[in-house]
Amino acid sequence: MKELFTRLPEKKLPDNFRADVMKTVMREAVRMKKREERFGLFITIAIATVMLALGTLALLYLKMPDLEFNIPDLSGVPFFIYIGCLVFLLLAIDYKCRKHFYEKRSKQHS
Amino acid sequence: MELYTDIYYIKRIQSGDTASFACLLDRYSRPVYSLIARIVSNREDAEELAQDVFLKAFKNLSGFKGDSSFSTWLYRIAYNTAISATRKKKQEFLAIEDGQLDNTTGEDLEIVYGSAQNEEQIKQLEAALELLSPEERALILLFYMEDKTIDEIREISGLTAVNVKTKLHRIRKKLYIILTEMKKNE
Repeated sequence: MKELFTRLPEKKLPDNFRADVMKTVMREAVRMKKREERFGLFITIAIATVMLALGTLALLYLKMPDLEFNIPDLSGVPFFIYIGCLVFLLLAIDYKCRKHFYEKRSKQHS
Repeated sequence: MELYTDIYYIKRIQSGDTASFACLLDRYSRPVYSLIARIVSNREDAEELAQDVFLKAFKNLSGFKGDSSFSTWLYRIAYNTAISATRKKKQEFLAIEDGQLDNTTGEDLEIVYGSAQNEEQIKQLEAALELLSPEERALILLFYMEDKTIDEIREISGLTAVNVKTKLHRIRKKLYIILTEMKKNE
């Protein structure tokens, strides 16, 4: 019986079958990707909206403790800006010197 | 020789390499199309349904957990798609009385044909298959042509193992009666 069935001729696959299926599959893959992106965007917007709503509700209805900010002592800032500028200036001079040196050497070699 | 397993391609597709689906298509398009074409007995419908099967498989590939082999999973989609399509189209099939079926055994079919098979016998078998219902055709083809085990057919069709065995036995008897009638009318 098995031998008889295996001798049954196989139905011939249409020539364009592979190309047609792959075209449909590729189209579906793009559609699925877009759907996932849209879903991701929707979730982000939904979470952001919920968080904003909760924040607003918390501000309006909950007794929020007063926030206190301790401003650090800024008297040393000018000194650090001065040092930073000096470092930047030295780095710029170093860059220029190196560039000049390499250009001069490449000219000598050529 | 197969270079890579189905799981290898499935993992690639799941990680975004859609083009790898072509490899699975190359491997299964012929047998799946052949099976559907024999179940629905219409070339155009078979092409459309086979395309539908592969698209369904692609869409649901993320849900494939590997509980059964990819082949069995794909055949299950093909079987359900083809059987649903034939149910929509009302077709008439040969009905054989239970009494007549009880008087034959599955082994009788081997006696009808013996060991030598010629082209005429193959044509007769094709004609006899056409007289079976789509479900019966699907089951016998899965067992003999696609070389599926009873357990695999159980997974594909959703029937119980006992039910599959009983149905196969009855289909063999039915085929015997049809083929005997054909031989008488020769």
